[in-house]
Amino acid sequence: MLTQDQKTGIIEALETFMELHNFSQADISLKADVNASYLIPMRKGKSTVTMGAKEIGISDMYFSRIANLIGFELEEKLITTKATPQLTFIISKLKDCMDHSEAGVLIGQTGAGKTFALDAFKKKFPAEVFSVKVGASDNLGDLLQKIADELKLDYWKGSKSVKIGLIWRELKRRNEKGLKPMLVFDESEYMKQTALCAFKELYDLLLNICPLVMLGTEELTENMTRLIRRKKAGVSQLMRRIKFKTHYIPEVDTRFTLFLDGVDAELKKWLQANCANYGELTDVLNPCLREVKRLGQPLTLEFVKMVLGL
Amino acid sequence: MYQKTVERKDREGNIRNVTEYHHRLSMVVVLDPCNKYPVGYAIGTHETPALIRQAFRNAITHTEELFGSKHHVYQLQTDNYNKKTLTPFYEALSERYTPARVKNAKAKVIEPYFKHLNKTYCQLQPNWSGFGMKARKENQPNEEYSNKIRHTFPDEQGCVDQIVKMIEAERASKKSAYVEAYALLSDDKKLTWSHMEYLSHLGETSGDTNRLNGPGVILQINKQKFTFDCFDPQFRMHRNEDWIIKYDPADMSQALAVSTDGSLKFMLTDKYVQPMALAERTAGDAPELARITQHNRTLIDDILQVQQSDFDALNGLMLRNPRIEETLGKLLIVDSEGQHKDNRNAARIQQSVKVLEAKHTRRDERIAEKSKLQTQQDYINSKIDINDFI
Repeated sequence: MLTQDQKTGIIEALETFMELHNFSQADISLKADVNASYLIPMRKGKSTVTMGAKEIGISDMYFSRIANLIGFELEEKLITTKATPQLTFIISKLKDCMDHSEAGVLIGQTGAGKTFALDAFKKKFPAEVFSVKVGASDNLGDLLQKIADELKLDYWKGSKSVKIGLIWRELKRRNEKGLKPMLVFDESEYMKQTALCAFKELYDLLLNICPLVMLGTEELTENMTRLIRRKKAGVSQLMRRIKFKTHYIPEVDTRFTLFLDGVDAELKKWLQANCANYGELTDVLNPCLREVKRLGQPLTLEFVKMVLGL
Repeated sequence: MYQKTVERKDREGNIRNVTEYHHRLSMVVVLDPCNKYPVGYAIGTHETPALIRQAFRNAITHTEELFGSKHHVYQLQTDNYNKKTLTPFYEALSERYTPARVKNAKAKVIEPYFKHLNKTYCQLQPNWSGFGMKARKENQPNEEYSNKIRHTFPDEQGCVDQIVKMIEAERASKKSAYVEAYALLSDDKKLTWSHMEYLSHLGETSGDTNRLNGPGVILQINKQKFTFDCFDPQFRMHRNEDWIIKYDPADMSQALAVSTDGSLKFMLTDKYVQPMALAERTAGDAPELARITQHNRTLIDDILQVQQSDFDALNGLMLRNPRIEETLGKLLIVDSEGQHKDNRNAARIQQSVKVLEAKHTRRDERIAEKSKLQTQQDYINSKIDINDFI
């Protein structure tokens, strides 16, 4: 349940966001999936909407959607974002790809903060960066559907080839409007041969229009190498295109110096021994810091083990 | 009472010999309350933990005289004198240690027993010092007469002899009944000790540790040296060990060597001194000499066996590494620069150098990698301002 202060905060942040990124009300309505008939009273600071003679309350869901879009934090962040070498590396490479309209492949270990960095980058360029998360069970159709959803395409019919054309047309349109659209495939180690070939096709189509970026683990390159060895059509061509555009994210330093400053020495040692990456570290610290805040107890190893049930 | 001559300074500061006649001795008695048999005793000028230990040693050696083997007891009761020091000792001596309650003299059978000794034996002696301070005056000795005959009082040793005679008389009167009572005791209550256990629990120590030297283990007590030896071949395997020597002052023919951590124990025997002159040789000398000769032969056999096993273990190594057998390995022949070991160890040093070089290479690689990462990070930082994104 959102408080009135939170709702006011979201709307104030929305206004700043629209001004900063030059977003119209229609853009916000489309991107956040909030009907304009709700968005107008929300921007006027109202929590209700008039439907005929009735006054109906605007659901918190719509405020949350806007908060998600503009990156407004509804809850206080327990772990503040740190400029890790991995974060700066990924963002700098994404920025390069965007500025020079170049494709890129970023390879890094799991938990290195790839998705986190992508989200941070996307919040900075909400009108230009589009991302899809590849799933283990996704086929080519699913992947194209995810791209269409992300681009909010109105017209979405025809064969897969036609749909690729529709994606190209939308991105080209945005490019012509003076934007620098960019399409990022997160967790692309799950891409199968057909998806990789579609990526190659999009790459050729969108050359100098929209850079394509793949984020994934080393399994992606291993997959491609295996497919090339088996002489699977299209993969070696893709490899030729991305060979020197593949960048390896620096390995995570498990001393976590940036995050563990001031932490109890015993707990620090335990975290360094047991957490292999930022993801695991966050999984340990987030629930514990929440409980520390609730109970007012110091953050010690004993307390962490109690919270995690170890 | 006994007489004792002491040195005393007079008013002019001159030292004079003065004889005093009021000195008394103290006796610690270990009593079996079965028929109040004095199993052990020790006599001294005053009560000390050492005197108490001496009394218990006497008790345990006396059980050997009575029953053929050293015994310790199932239950032990004592007064509370110096209990912090002595409780571990008492607990080692007995299966169950039950001290008397503090300030409850009646809890112990020893107090009436001392009265019995006083009345039965001591009162008959002319140098009797009487009962305690609170006793009736008419029961005390005639002090005028005692003062008159004080010159007849024995000296300290004479007084000790008097008490020994009394205890021996007391023992003689109760011995047969005591031995009979022992025969009726169930076997599980007859707790015997070997001599090693006896020394381990009751042996005195000099306070120092000793090592095995050429002549043997030399123990010095009050400026008197005792030399012990051990015919157990294992003892010589621990030549570097510091030994705590435990002994019975009444019987220095044997002692126990205990390692400082208590893990090793060896019985030592007083070293037999062979006479120098043939004319002084006695019947026991030849067997003792033969024993040493036999022991040395056994040692030589053991050493040969060790050498054989060493050879078996090393032979393969020597065959695999012929350099060990090379000339410089056997002979100290220097080169023109006076160096021997440099040449002998050249191969080994070369190997070490390789290891060291590999280590340095790894270190350099690590530094280079770190530097590369830092350069890359600086490059990235120069391209973007990360604060715009977080």
